[in-house]
Amino acid sequence: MKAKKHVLLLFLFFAILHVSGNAEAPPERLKIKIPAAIKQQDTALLNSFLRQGFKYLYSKPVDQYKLKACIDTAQVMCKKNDIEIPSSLHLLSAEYYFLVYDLGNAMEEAKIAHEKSIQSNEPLITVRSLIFLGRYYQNTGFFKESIESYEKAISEATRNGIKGFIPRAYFNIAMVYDAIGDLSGHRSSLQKVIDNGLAEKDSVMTAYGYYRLGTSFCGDSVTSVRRNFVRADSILRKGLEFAMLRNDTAVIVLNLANLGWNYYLEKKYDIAVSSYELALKYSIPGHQDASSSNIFGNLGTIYRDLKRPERALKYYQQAIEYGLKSNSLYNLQWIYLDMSNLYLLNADTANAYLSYVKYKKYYDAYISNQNIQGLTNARLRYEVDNHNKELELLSLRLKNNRQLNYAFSGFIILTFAIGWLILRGYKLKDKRRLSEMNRRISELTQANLRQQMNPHFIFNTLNSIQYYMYQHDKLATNNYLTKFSNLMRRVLENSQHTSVSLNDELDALRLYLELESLRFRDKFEYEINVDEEIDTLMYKVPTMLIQPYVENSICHGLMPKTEKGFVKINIRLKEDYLNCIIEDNGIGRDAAREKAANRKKNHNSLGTQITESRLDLVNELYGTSMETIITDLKDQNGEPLGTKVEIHIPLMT
Amino acid sequence: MSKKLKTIIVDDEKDAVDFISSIICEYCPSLNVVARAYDVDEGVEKISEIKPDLVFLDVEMPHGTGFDLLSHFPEKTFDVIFITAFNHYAIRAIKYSAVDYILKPVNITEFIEAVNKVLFKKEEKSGSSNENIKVLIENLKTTQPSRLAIPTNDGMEYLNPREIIRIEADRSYSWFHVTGGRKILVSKHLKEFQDLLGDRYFFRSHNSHLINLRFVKKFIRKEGGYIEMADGSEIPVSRNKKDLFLIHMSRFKG
Repeated sequence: MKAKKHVLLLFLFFAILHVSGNAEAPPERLKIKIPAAIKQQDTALLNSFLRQGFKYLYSKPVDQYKLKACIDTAQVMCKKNDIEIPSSLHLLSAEYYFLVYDLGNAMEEAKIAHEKSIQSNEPLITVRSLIFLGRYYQNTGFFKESIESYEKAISEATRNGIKGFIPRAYFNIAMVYDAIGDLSGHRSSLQKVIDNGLAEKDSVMTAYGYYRLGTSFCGDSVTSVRRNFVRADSILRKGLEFAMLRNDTAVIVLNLANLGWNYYLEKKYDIAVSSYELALKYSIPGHQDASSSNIFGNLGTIYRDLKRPERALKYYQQAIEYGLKSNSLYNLQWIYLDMSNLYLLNADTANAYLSYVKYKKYYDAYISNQNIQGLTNARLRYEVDNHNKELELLSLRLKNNRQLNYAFSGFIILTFAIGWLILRGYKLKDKRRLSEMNRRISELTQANLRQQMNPHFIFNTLNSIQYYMYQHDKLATNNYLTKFSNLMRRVLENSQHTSVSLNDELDALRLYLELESLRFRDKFEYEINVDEEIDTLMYKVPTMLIQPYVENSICHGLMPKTEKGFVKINIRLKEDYLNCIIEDNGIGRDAAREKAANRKKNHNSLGTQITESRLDLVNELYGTSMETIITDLKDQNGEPLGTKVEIHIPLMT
Repeated sequence: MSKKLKTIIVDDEKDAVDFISSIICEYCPSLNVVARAYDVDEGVEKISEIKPDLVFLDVEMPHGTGFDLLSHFPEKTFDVIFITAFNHYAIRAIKYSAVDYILKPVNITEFIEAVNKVLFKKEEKSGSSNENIKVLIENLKTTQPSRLAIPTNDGMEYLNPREIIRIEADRSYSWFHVTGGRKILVSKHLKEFQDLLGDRYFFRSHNSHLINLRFVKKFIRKEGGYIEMADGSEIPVSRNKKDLFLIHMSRFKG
């Protein structure tokens, strides 16, 4: 009985969440009878908007704004005429939300589209919404769910005899299997693509299926486990045949190029070359520039292996030309690497070096591009994860709250209670988002975010140590040296993570200040105050966040000052953020800027610059508002009294 | 304080050994360096032969670690001060076991303090350090140290973190509440234990409370929110820690 209660509770909760998620949408569940004539006319108009909307969706590149306008208009029309929002409009909205990464709404809309299409018996929309869900799960990393959705779509399409979706769905399943490294699943799904493509007379998908299946037997090297020369060859040939039937240039080129690759791996260079050359005959007039680049590159490699460097170089150059045309970073990087190797073989080190530099450039661009994609995917995945976890947490709370069980008999009380819980849940959202995201980012972009100590500081400190050494002050030298090594140890350790506990951050800051005040004897005093309330071990801050500002205060505010200065760091706990104030009584920013200009050096400290761009990145990723406010402190006469930097750090754990 | 402590330095780097012996020479008149060893085997040999009072022991050496050396002496009669450049895992185990250690490069002031601590202990004749080393060797065997050494009024107490229900701060002291209803006073700040224990199993619910999540019985939202522990105590939860507590609880698995 207890379990049942929870199920019902959960269901009610979903129902409410569902409605609250669509607060602005018209009341869909109300079916109001309206005169048939008006309805017919409006429905026709509505349908034309929907058609237009799908047209925008499938156009490339997608025109988001027009698509959104279509959706909005259609929704307004429904509202005005009290027509229930049709399932296809929900599907269109889902597609739109997915496009703009609003995953919660995308999911919501897709589910409604799916339900409604079943209710109103529109199997076509059912299939499409299932395929949408499949894609949604595929892109967010829920592979099992993705395959399930596609399979449902397939069975639905089969049951209702709907054509045009089954091969595509199997193809997507094959891609999912590929993503999780299930080779046999990948292959059997591709076989189904081919079978169903043949049955539906869909030669494009059939050719694609053959192409991918053939490719799955190619492998990257002769020793690859997946490699089967004969099967790859025969399958790719079939793919070629079907692509030629439809005269589909892109697929013809892909099949031919992989046939060539297959022969190249077998060291049958002549056939490989002729395959590639044939592929070029299609790819160049067909403006498949990326493919052309790849093919030229491969031809170059073949001639390199055949020890004909001049010819190889010619092909490489053409490959680069097409690579640049299509901005294909992947091709450019490997081609330059191969070129560099070729130059090395010919003992032309100068050119080898130049090519290698280019390779590095494109390789870095390629990797960073990949990273951005990885980040986007991680973000997608994270958001979905988060959504699910929130539900989990809320259900856990429901379970924990006994009072709710008693209130079960009264539906209204329950509604209020759940409403309250949802509100609480939202309050939690930000904190959870941060802590979870933090983990993800530190895995993915550690390298990008890593912050380092200003090298000036390091060498100046070493210089001071040397000074003490020459003064023969053993204890002072030793003290200085060990403090410095402690700071370096801290910094190295902290730089492993994108965020560290406030405690660790402050330890490093304290050491830094101690060293600087030792170095500039009697130049300044410092103070770090942290609210009693703050659990410095629990709360986390981005690594090396505060230090660059403090360094700025010391170097540009206090150093130029003639008398003794101070820098004060105060950390207070506010409602939902830590307020970190770095205050100095230095010469002020205006004077510092003047001095910097006089020295004709760009003294806009690198440290703070890095920190600021880091803050931007962190904000963008977390959707937070970590911000810095810099105030110039002045007395009544407008004379500078110093600078105050205020950093708002959201509470992270 | 009649005679000098016989001291042996074990470190694979000759410079390091020379440096330590010159600090001892200059700043620690009550020590007498009687031997030097440059690897584990030589260290074992010299220690068994000379029976020193104090050993400075490097943790990371090319053939075996300082811990390997110690495992040759189950009935240890000497004190040990570890010297280590950097080894996070080992440091955690060392801290858990309340054994003395010094970081490289050696800070002379800290070095002198560590030596004085040993001298003081020798005078008091509180022979607990042998037990601490045993605990250390034991803790090194697992990734999650199983015994925490805490200095008490009358020596050392060795607790399994699983026995600790909660720790309460009393200014710079900490009260350990352990299973069986016992209370132990420790003259260390709560924060130090939070640092050592507080990752998965322990949660700082309040400025002066560190609780073991294993022993949480109830969370009551009323009156600002508090936690009822298995021993019946009611622990307040800070305003801004309530949500965090729930998250920790939901993640917590036995």
